[in-house]
Amino acid sequence: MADIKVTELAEELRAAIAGLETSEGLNSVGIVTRIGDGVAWVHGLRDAGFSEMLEIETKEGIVEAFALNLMEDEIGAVLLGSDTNVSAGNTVRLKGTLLEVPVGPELLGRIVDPLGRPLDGAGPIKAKQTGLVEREAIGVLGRRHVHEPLMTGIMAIDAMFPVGRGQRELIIGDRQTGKTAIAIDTMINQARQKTGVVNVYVAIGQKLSKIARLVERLKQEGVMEQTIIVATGPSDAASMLYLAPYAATAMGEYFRDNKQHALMIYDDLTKHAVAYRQMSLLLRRPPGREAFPGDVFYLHSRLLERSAKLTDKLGGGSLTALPIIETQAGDISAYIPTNVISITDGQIFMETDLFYQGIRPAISAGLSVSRVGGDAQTKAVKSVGSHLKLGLSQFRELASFAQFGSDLDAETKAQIDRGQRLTELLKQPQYQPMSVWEQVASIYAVNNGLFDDVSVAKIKDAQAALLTRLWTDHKEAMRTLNKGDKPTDDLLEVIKKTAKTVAKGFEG
Amino acid sequence: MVLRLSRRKIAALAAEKILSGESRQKVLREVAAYLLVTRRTREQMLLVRDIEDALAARGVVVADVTSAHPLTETIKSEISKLVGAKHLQLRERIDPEVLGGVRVDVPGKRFDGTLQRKLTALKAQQL
Repeated sequence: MADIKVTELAEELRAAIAGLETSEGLNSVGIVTRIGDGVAWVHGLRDAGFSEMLEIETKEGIVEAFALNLMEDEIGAVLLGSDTNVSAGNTVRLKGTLLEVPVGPELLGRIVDPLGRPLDGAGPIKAKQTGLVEREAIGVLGRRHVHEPLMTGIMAIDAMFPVGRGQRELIIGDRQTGKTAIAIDTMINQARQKTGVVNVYVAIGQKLSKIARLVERLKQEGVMEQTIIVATGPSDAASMLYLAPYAATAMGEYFRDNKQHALMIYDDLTKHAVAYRQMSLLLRRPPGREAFPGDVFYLHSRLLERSAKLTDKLGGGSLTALPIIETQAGDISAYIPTNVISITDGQIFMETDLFYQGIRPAISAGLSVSRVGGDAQTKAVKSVGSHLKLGLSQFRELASFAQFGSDLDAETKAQIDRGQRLTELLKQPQYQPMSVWEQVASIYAVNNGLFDDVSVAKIKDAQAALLTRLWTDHKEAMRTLNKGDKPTDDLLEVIKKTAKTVAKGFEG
Repeated sequence: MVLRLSRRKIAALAAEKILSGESRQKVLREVAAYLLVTRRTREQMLLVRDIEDALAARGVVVADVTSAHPLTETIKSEISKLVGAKHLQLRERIDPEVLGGVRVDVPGKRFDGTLQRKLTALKAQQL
C-alpha cells in the first residue's frame, strides 16, 4: 500500500478550502421584504441554516442578523443592532458561519457586549480564539459528580446550602432582597480566598448605572482582574439580551475546557425570558402560558446544562452557574421560576419579610435547598453545621410563639433561644465574605451552646471577639483549619476554651 | 373555500405549466385570479421572484446584469458560462453607481464583482 502522508492531505484540504472561499461565484442572496422592531423578514436564501448569520447590505454599511424562523416562503431574522438603516429591498447574504465571540484570558478585567466588543474604552480585545455562542452541552461521559466546594463566603449558604464547582444554584426572590449582593459576595470571596475561580457576570437588561456601580465595587475589592462582565442595558435590542448569557457561557467554557474553574452569574434570567418572549412574539411564534413561547423551558435548560464539572480525563475544569430569578410578591409558582427551579440543582430563596426584619442575607432556611452540594461541602464546615438547617427551620416555625416566652415548655424555649442566636449569628454584612476557619469557629460556638449565656443582641460582638482572639492566639491552628479538613478534637477544644472565655465578657 | 397554498407551490405549478407549453397569458391570468380570491395581491412581486426561481430550477434563467458600461460580447459569454443554464436570457441595466465591474442577479443567487460591493466589504472589515 502506498505511503499516505496525512500532513500533505491536510495541507491540500486547507488550500482547497481557501480556494473555495476566495473564488467569486454565484452566492445565495435574498431581499428584505419587511422590517420592524428588530426583526427582518427575508425572501429567498432557501439554503440558510437555523441560527446562521446573515449580512444585510444597507446604504450605511452591513448590518448583521441571525436566522431564527425558517419557513417555506420566507425567513424571520433578528437583527444584531439597530434597524433604522435597514429598509425593504435591501440585499441579504449568508455569512456562512454561526455566531462566535472572542474567548480567552485576554477578556479578563474587561466589560464587553454579547458580541465580545469592548464597552470599557480600554482598547481592542486581542483574543486568539473564538467560541461558539450556541454550543451543545458536554455529554454524560465527560462529566463528573460535583465534589469540590465553591465557597461563597456567606456563612448561611456555605453551612446550610453548600455550592459545589459545576453546580447550578438558583438565587430567587423578590426585587430588592439582596440577590445580586449574594452573587457579588461570592465573586469577592473567590479573590479574597485566592481560589483561582474566574468570574463571569452577565447583566441582562440591567440598569447601566447598576452595572457601573458593580464594576466600581469589584475594582475596589481587587476582583476585576479575574472577572469578565458581559453587559446589556434596558435600551439594547432584545436580540442582544437574548444572546448575552449564551455568549458569556462561551467565554466561561474556555476556562472550563482549559483545566480551570469559572463561575457564571446570570443576572437575571427573568429579563432574559422576557426578551425572548418579545422576539418570539415579533417572529409570530404561537404564544403559550403567560405569552411565553413553547420552547422557553429549553431556552434555559440548554443554557444551564453547559455548566458542568469535567472528568479528570478532560482536565477536571468546571463551570458553576448562579442564575438569578426575580419573583413577583414571592410567587415561586409562576412559569419562569418553576422552570428554572426544576432545571437547577437547588435554590437559595430570599424572603422580603426577613430582609425588612434586618435578617440579611435574607435567606429562607425552609424553602432553600442544595441538591448536589452535600458532597462538595468543606469537611470542616460540614462537621460543625450538620443540624443547622433543621434547627433553623424548626425555629422559624416556632418563632411566632416566642412572644409567649413564659408559657412554653423548657424544650421549646431552648429551641427558640438557640434559633434566635443562630439567626443573629448568620447575619452578615455585604462585601464581607468569611473564610472557612471563621465560619467553623462561629458555628461551633453557637451550635454547641457556648454562647447560650450571651444575650441575643451581643452575639455578633461576641463572635467578632472570638474570631479576633483565635486569630491572635492560635494563628497556626486557624490556618490549618482554613484548609477545610475535618477539625481535630484538639482544635475544637481550643475553640471551645476560647469561646467560653470570650462568652464570659458578654454575659447578661 | 379556496385552499391557501404557499407561494412556493403556486410558483412551481405556474412554472410547470409555462414550460409545458401552455399560454403564458393564461397561466398568469389563473395566478392573478387566485391571488385576488385569496386576497394576496400584495405578494405579487414576491411571487414573480418565486416563479423565476422555479423556472431557474428547471433550467430557464433570466439574469439581470448591472454594470457601469455596456457589456461586450466576451463578458456576455463569460456570464453565460458562469450561470450555466440551458436557456439563458439577459436583462441588461446600466447603473453608474456600481462604479465598475459587473453584477449578475439570477433568481436566488448573485455574482457581485462590482467595485461598489468591494468598497462596502472593505468598509465593513474596517469597522
